[in-house]
Amino acid sequence: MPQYKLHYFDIRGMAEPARLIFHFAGQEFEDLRYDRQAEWPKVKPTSETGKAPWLDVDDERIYESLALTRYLGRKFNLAGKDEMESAQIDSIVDTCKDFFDEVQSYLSVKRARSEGNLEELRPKYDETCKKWYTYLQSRLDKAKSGFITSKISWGDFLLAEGILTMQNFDEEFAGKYPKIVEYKDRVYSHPKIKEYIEKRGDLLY
Amino acid sequence: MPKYKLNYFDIRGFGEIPRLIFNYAGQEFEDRRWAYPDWPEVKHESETGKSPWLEVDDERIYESGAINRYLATTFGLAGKDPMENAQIDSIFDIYKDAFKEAAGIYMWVKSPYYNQVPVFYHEIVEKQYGKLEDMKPKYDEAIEFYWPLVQKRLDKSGTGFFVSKLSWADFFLADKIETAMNLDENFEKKFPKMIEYKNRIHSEPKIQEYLKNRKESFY
Repeated sequence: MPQYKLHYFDIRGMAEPARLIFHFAGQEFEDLRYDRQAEWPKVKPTSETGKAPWLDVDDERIYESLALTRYLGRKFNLAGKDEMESAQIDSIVDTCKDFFDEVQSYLSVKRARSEGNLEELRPKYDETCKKWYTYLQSRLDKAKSGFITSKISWGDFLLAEGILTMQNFDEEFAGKYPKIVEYKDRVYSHPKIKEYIEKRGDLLY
Repeated sequence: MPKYKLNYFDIRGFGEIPRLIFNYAGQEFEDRRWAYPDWPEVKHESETGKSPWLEVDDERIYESGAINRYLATTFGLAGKDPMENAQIDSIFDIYKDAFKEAAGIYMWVKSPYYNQVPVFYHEIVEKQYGKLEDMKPKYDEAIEFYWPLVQKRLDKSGTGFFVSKLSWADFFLADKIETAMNLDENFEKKFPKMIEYKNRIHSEPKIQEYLKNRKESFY
């Protein structure tokens, strides 16, 4: 059995889908969480990309959250039933990443992390949400399984995490996208991750 | 055999890898391309508002990474195991992250495609990112960060390929080296081993015909 070490901050963020995979699979792993102020400045130079998360698998290292999550997804049979399903997972997950890149500025202002005019940013934010969640819903409708492919996958873990974050930032979200929130709840209620989700506590993002 | 149709701009950009893979495999496909000014119209066809997308019979795959990975797996250009594939995925995502925002916009502004879009886009760009000379340092920084990282992995691999054999990673990196050369005439001097690597990959017999006949694309 290889030794797994996940390196990240003490947030859900880009590493939580990987943590969910480990818990789903009942696979032990070292869950390293660096304090951004106290520890990260010393740890950052050890990252060849200057970024986190990364995953150590024995003495090999995988940078980039999607690369490492996909790797774990494949390893633990959470990557779709065939290559087309794997491709759809990849596709939807990358589109989700694009979505968060685009709404980043709005969410950042909302969290008062940066300066800006919420009223001005709002229309673009609403439009971007509508486009993305309409697409996601269409893929859920197409799969008919309650997940984005024929059974639960690493893609569902990642998407659920994103939806939780949106709910935490946007109090209107559940009202606007109830079926999407239902989907998230369905993912989180899977017996193999339910307990971990309940125990992990409320992290904003 | 399924029917394949690639939908993308008439540039290399993030659509060239599928074209290379299809040609490598000797697989027929429809290579739909549009010019920048036509994009606002075409955009409505895209469920995500983005391109490229690949049609495989009546299914669609959006996102270049997903397309590349799917075609590579189908046509024998994936890594030999999940760890090799993870390294390929990683270097691809690292590129996208490194050349975001100012570094990426610089590439567009410097390209011949910039003048194909309405002037009001130029105003938006200048407002957010400044002028070309403001963006260049970010671009240079991305180059100085990315290519040494690639070299490190090539050295570690020792096969002349990014992983144990030819993969879509090599097509991708060779393509981006070509782009880097178009953007900076000093790139060749700064990274001679990268030029060697690119030339080696582009000498792959199965893509010669395609490379010889394809038209120039700035990026």
